[in-house]
Amino acid sequence: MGLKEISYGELIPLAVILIAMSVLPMLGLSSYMLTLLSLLLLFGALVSIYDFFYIRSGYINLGYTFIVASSAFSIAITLERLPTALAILAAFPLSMLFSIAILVPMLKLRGPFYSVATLLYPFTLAPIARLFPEVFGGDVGIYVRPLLSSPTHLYYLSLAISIGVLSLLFILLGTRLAIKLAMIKDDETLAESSGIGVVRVKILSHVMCTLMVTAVMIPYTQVSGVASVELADPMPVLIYALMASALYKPGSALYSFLGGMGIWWLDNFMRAAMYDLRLVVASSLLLTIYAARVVLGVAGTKIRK
Amino acid sequence: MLEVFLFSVIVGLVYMLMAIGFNLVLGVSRIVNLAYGAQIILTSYIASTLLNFIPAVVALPISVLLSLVIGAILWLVLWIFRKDLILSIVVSIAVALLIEGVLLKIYGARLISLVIAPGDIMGISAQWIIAAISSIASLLAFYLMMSRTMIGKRMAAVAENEDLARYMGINVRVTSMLSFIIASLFASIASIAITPLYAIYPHVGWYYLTIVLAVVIVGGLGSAMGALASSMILSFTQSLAAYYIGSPAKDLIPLTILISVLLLRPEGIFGRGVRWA
Repeated sequence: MGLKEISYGELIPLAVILIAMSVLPMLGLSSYMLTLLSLLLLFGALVSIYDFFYIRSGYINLGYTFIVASSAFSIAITLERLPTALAILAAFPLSMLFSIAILVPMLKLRGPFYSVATLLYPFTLAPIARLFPEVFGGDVGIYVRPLLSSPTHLYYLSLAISIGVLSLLFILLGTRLAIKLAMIKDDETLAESSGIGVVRVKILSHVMCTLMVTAVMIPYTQVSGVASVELADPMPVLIYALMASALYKPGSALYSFLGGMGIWWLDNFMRAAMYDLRLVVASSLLLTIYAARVVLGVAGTKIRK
Repeated sequence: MLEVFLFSVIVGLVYMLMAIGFNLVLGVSRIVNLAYGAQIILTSYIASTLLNFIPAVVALPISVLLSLVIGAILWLVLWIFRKDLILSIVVSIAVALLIEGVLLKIYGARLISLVIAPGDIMGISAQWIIAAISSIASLLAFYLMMSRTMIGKRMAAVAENEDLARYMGINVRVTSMLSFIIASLFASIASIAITPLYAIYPHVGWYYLTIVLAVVIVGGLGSAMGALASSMILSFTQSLAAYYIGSPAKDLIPLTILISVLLLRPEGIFGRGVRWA
């Protein structure tokens, strides 16, 4: 259960939060509030997936938003053309197909070269969407066919998927995969000479990451109602994921989930109260968090051993 | 068609100017400055504000000077994080977003364009001529600096072997800062040269960053011939794609070329086996 890195004591606050969140709809919250909370949970899940698969392995994928946006498009495209059950099933292989684009450089490149290469992927989506508006809906995006009409049902679906993702990540934390990812981060060549099938680990982790992101994007697109190229922008998903991962114990998935939810709440406040300063505040926060890590001597994305 | 050809050559020269600044910082300071695209557009925004109050002859040098000061501050920030390349990449992204956010706050998301020299000279736009002359003059000055001056030789020494250069008594920190300032100068000149040709908005810095990365990586790190060839290839394919297919294709071209080269030949077309992979 990954308890060398995360103790049972540390899991208690998360369990309390999730239990409290499961009773929230019974308190008569408005539809708007339930929608916000659904997005909060899903955002936390997206951040913890990023933290586990990329920060942990040292493969800082700056094209994560490409996976997020292409998963959203996959769901919207399949829902538009197929019956519901089949559409959801088909969305997974379709998003896999998109994300192979990121996997290929992952197998060939390392370190900063990989990060720079992957940063470029999200920027390809906007021109592609404009070139093929009949498929991707241009700048506006594609309307996502609603599956659940009640915000309460959507909220519970979001909660269930977030808990599912977190549970899976916690199980993975205790498996060989987590150790292998940490070893690849420490020294990929040494990991390979120690008998770790580095390519196999990379492919496996990338496939699992894409499948989890697609699962999260099913309720996410239901809540937002649209799949658009806006999701591919570094702000908010990538920037907040980098921020939340660096807050405490990078690669642990737990603190990034809590951090992600907190940062998303802050973002929501900024959208409402000071939209034109949102980018300035977010980038200053990112700078501050990473500067603090340098000052405190925990720079980079080191995992607690 | 002659106009398309001329325009492509001029834009290619400006792309090369941008790329040489990025390459210089990467080679000498070993910093992947992803805020470079934001730096490029910053000068044009400063110039557009100053042009409202003072004539271009005064406004442009002041805006370049201000950009150099901002470049020096940026160097200081990235120098602190330099030990961890990934960390410096994340920080440079944060700086890029910060610049974009400040520009959005001050100017909004609207398009702006610089008009420095309206009118034609022998049927050719004066703006195009200024862009071509300033780019060629800067590239020539860079060549002379690198081959004839002590500063250039120091930079080459640091780029070749930083530790050895330090043992030889070269102040690596100062040399690195100088490389950053020169790169900021090139970014500023490129900015003033290209904004009369293409209007800009705060988010467009990312687009210029992809252009710079495409030129640098496709050409091969540290290869001047490669940079020249790739900037021309990029500029011509963009113009032809925009002419025959449409504007979105123009934006997709640099990314397609770049990703293809990264996957097929990560050291670049003219690279000498130098790569991070």
